[in-house]
Amino acid sequence: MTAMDLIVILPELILVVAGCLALVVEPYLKKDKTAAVTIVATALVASGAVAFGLAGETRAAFGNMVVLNDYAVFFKVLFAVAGVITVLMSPRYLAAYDRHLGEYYALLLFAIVGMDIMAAARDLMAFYVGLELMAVSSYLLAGFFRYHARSNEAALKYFLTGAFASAITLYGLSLVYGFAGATNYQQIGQALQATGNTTAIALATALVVVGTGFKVSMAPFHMWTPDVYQGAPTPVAGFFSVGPKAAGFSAILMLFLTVLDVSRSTWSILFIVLAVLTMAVGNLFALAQKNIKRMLAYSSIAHVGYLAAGLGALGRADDDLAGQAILLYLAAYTFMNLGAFAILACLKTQDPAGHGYTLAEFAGLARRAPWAAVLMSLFMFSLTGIPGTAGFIGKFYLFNAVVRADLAWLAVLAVIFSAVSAYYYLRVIMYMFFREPEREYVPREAIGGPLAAALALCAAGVIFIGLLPGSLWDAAVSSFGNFFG
Amino acid sequence: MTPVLVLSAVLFATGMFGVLTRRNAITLLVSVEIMMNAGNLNLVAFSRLYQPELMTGQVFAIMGIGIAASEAAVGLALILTIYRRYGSTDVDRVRLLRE
Amino acid sequence: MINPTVDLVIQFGLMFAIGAVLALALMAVSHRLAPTSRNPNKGQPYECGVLPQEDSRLPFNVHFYLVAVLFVLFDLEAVFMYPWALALRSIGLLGLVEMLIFIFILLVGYFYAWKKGVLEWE
Repeated sequence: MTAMDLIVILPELILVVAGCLALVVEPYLKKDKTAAVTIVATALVASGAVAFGLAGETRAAFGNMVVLNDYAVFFKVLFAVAGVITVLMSPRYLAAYDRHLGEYYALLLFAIVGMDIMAAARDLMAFYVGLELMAVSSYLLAGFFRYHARSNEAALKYFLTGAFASAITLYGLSLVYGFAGATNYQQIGQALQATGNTTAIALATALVVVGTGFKVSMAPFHMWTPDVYQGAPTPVAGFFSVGPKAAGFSAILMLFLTVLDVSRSTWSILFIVLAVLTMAVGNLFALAQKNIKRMLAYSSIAHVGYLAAGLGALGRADDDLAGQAILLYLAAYTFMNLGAFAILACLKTQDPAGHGYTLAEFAGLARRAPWAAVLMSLFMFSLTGIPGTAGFIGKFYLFNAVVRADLAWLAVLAVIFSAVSAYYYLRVIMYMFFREPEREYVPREAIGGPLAAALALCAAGVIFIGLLPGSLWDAAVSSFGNFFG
Repeated sequence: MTPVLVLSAVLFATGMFGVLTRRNAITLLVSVEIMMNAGNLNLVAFSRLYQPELMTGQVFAIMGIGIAASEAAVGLALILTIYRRYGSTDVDRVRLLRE
Repeated sequence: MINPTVDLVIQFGLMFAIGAVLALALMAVSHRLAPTSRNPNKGQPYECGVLPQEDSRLPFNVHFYLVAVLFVLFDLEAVFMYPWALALRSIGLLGLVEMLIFIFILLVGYFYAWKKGVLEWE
């Protein structure tokens, strides 16, 4: 370890120190947790800024365990942004449930550190530690409302499926280590190239696909997702739907492109099958949901399906187009999905006891809370993929890459499912603007402060990516290339 | 070498069988831990096979053990909250979240 | 050195075969050997003839669980210290500093638990 090594993990060091600090100050804070929120928000901004400042650098550290390159930087900045938005939407929501505690923010930071490590890892060991750091923190975040049965249940389900997936991943990784005799991605890649694609390697590939598929909730490993999102605190559910998913994809891309490159044909077909299944399950189940939180959970599964189609295309194509499109899609998805969850958090905060996230409660929202209705419409349009929004740009680049990989039928299927998704996304808008509410709602004070800032950030991101995708696309293109620092 | 790998495969299958058939949260946790130990055993065995002097796999296994313990601690805490609410650790009794 | 590929194919075959056989065999054995005659008198306590007043599995004070979980966590960190101690000569001062950082992070956790009152026994 040298000072140079520490620069590589500087964004994570900032987060770890801030997380520990939040834990240490927490017992001394009374009702007012502003200090903890300030520490954490500052650390996230600093971490993102430092990561951004390190763009263009390429170096490896800690015996090639982690690297610093544009790929890692892209994800570190993305996670920091997702973290900032989550922190901004949390205080009022937690306070409404009387669970506004510093530990929440510390856990969030530790989860983000794990995600950062997953994106930067170039060694199975570092990857596994990062994965588990993220996962264990996430279980606790899901169960953070300790006195609420639903939160308990969400945490238990998330824990049991997550630990099961971790165990499968570990077994798969141990087999990969067994074939290659190394844990470094590059060395494994070379060793496996020498052996060639065998049945046994295909089996190890399948185990890793199943393990990581659980983490990003690909069908048929998605069963936990709706329950966990519904039961977890809303800001946490929003964070789960973007953060761990993006981290999962960052690691999947790395693992399959560098470590298991030799079994490209195997995992490519596996991901195409999973993509079709995931798109179908996500979209069709979302149609039937009356609870918006569950609907968004199934919709997030559907989006994972589109991304899986990109993975399948990446395995078939000679170029990196699909990989770059996946990065762009993840960035676009982060803003629009967090935005939708921020609206839910906003409505729930106004009426903690009464609001049940049902579709009926969105009727006439345009009159009660015009701003919330307009922003929700923006996010719904974006999730559908209407031109002018981030969702359209993401889908355009992704489906284009799928077509270019000679998988036109898959792209057509994805577009058809997007059309299906329009039904359940636009239905929300229809309810908000054109349905009369079934009962009278007491007008509540509008929510300002941090939550408004979070919404503004999400909306700005959606519109900016939708109208001027050039700079983000350039970032995605330059990030996806040289994976080893 | 082979007997160790067979043992780890048996452990993995046992754990998998437990996860898929049992409904008690504690038993599920134990089953998952058995699966993880199958992975750890593999790592140690392969480490001895390939690089007895490097011990990469053994270090990986130590990491795995540490992680499994923290996961067990978190899992037990979560199961405890469930037990105090329902008076049981049967996961089939915990089913509020559905349409 | 044995061929790991062949080895693992065998291993996977065995994994599924033994898993299935073991499960079926255990179920068959317990089904065979389990006595089937049921009689309410069999459930009565017989040694001293006193009927149980309450469930013998009393709920423990939550503090026991908390302390047990803390013990598991802090106890297991020792697993990292044994290899460190063995390698200390070769990794030198840097290794010492790294372990101090590790212990410091543990102390943060300990401090948090202490300040949150986990260690106080009322």
